[in-house]
Amino acid sequence: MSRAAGAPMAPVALLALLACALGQAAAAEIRVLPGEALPALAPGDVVVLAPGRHEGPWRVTVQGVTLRAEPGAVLDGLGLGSALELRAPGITVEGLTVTGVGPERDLYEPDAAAYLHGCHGCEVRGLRAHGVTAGFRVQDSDDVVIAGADMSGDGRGPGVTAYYAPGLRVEDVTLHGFLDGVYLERSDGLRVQRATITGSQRYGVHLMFSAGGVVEQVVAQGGGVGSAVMYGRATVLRDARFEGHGGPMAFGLLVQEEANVVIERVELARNTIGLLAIRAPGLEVRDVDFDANGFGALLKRVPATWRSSVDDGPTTLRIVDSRFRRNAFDLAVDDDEADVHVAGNAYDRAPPLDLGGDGVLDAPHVVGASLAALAARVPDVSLMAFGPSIALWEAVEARVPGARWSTLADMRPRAEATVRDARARWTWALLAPLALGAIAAASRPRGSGT
Amino acid sequence: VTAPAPLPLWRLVQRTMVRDPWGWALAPVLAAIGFSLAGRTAEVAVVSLYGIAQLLVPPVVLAIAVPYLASRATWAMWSAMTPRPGGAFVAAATGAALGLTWPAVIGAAIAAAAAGVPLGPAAALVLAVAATVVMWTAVGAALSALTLAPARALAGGLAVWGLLVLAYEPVLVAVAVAAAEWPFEGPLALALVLNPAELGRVALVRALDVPVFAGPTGVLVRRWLGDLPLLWAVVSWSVWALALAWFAAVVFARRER
Repeated sequence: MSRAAGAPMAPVALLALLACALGQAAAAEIRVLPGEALPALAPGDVVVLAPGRHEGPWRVTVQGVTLRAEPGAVLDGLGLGSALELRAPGITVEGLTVTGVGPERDLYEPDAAAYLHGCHGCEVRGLRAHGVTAGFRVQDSDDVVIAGADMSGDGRGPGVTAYYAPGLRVEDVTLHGFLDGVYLERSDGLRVQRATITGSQRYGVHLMFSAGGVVEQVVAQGGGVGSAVMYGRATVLRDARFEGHGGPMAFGLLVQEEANVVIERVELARNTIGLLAIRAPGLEVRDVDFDANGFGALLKRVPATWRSSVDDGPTTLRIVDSRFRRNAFDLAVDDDEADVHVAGNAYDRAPPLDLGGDGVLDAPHVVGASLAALAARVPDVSLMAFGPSIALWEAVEARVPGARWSTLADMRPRAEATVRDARARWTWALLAPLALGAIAAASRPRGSGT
Repeated sequence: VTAPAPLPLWRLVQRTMVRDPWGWALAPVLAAIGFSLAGRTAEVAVVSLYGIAQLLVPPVVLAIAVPYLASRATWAMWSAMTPRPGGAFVAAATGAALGLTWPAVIGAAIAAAAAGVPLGPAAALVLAVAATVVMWTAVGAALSALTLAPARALAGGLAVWGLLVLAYEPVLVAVAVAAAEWPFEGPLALALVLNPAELGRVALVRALDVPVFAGPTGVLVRRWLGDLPLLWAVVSWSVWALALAWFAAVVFARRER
């Protein structure tokens, strides 16, 4: 271990004086070699971990410390709880690789690669941990930054779990195979951005009881259930993609008992349910792609006895300027109290009647097939989707809008031009020669019959 | 000069079926539907094509195969040709199925190509459509052997088609909605897998991972079909087709012709 005193510099003299006045030792850079224990630290110290395996677990309780790992430096927690505990404000960790995390998988108190408690303003950058129980556990810590983490889990614990972590920022992270990719509770003003979350056993992004959060540029793929924002308010989800969640009640995104959520420029693709809304007042959906889902959007009711104490009332949903294509059912509503407004969306099922050529179709489009309404009430009915008689039924509904049970209409719908054009072009390309052939055959002179 | 050996009966009938222009109507119709599904995902296109094929293929198969199989002139000739009337009847039904499979399979293949379906799912579609032809030829053969009257056999076949294809799903939907408060998942799943046409559709949905199954019945069906849903569909199609063919052979062999 080598310890070098910080060089005196005029610009920081005042700060140094202040530090001395507070009885703190001068900041130093300490290089720790493999096999050495974490040294006694003073505020502002910089600890540099040399390449190799360092035996943990380690606990840092001095504020303002920087823990910087050189390439190849690995902290091994030896399976004894969390590998690295940070319990003071202003700690920074950079470039560390962690192994040997303990087996505790409790969602709130798991053994994690890094555990931050009372760690206000701490930053952990570039942490790598693979095959661990949990990645980060953050508790009672304000304004924490988790950036550039690359982690995979064993499916039993969360990638990032936070409880009372207002202002938390999780950014540029890759999380694979955790129970929940990101589980954040009671953390107002959080931001999850530029995250790729795959193969979660349960939820990709899971926000609970938090207000004013922002989720942006997030990709959540192939989880067991989906992503959810619940019991909070005013969360914004934008420029994100939630896709590939298949299962009996799997969804791309669930908004439950959360008010004033805004979803914009989001892609919901290949999910059993693209967007599931339950008691979500003020839900605003703008410029969203609902693509190749079972249900594009589904509004469900819950019995009064199931509602939580933060219930703000029934769903009021506005879907505007979005695109519905290739879904088995575009929109289904099983909530008598819900107030749904759809306008200016594009539908691949809408008849492309646009005589004015202004891009807005000339007739309102009734959204939601009758089977969708039934399947919303009794999900098992979805097994009949794509069946022959259902295909007949939907063909009739498409031509006779009055035959639909749903009365929810988009008064200024748009058509999915590319799809419609392709259909028309190919159909006529086939039918035209057939028709010509039939005409030629019919007009051919019959045998003489003499 | 020696005369060429006569073709086996099944090949004679196959050739007759292949030469029937009405059978070939299936190919362009299926293909056109495939073109119209070009905007859907490949998986949805396959499942939709299969569903629509259930509407188109059985009536055409019945309308062509049944008058031939139930015709007194033809079965009298087969009876004279071979010492085993039951075997002759099944050979004729096999020929009819093979002959009618061609246009359906070609139409399904063009449809799959038009819809942009990759080779694997397209092969599954072609298999399923071929199985549909075989299944409904077997139904027609059984009814033909039973009645030996083309009109009655055709009416019976269309009635079975109406029951198993047109009415089946609406009835299941109605029952499921009416019994929503009851534990109906088991009976509903059973009803789905017992009907070979429905099992084929559900197996395709599962095999191609179309994310549409919601609810506990979906879980049950998923559990029952396991990782090889199409295998179960093939088993079901084979068992039903063989059982119907066997029934037709036995009935035809015992009838007073």
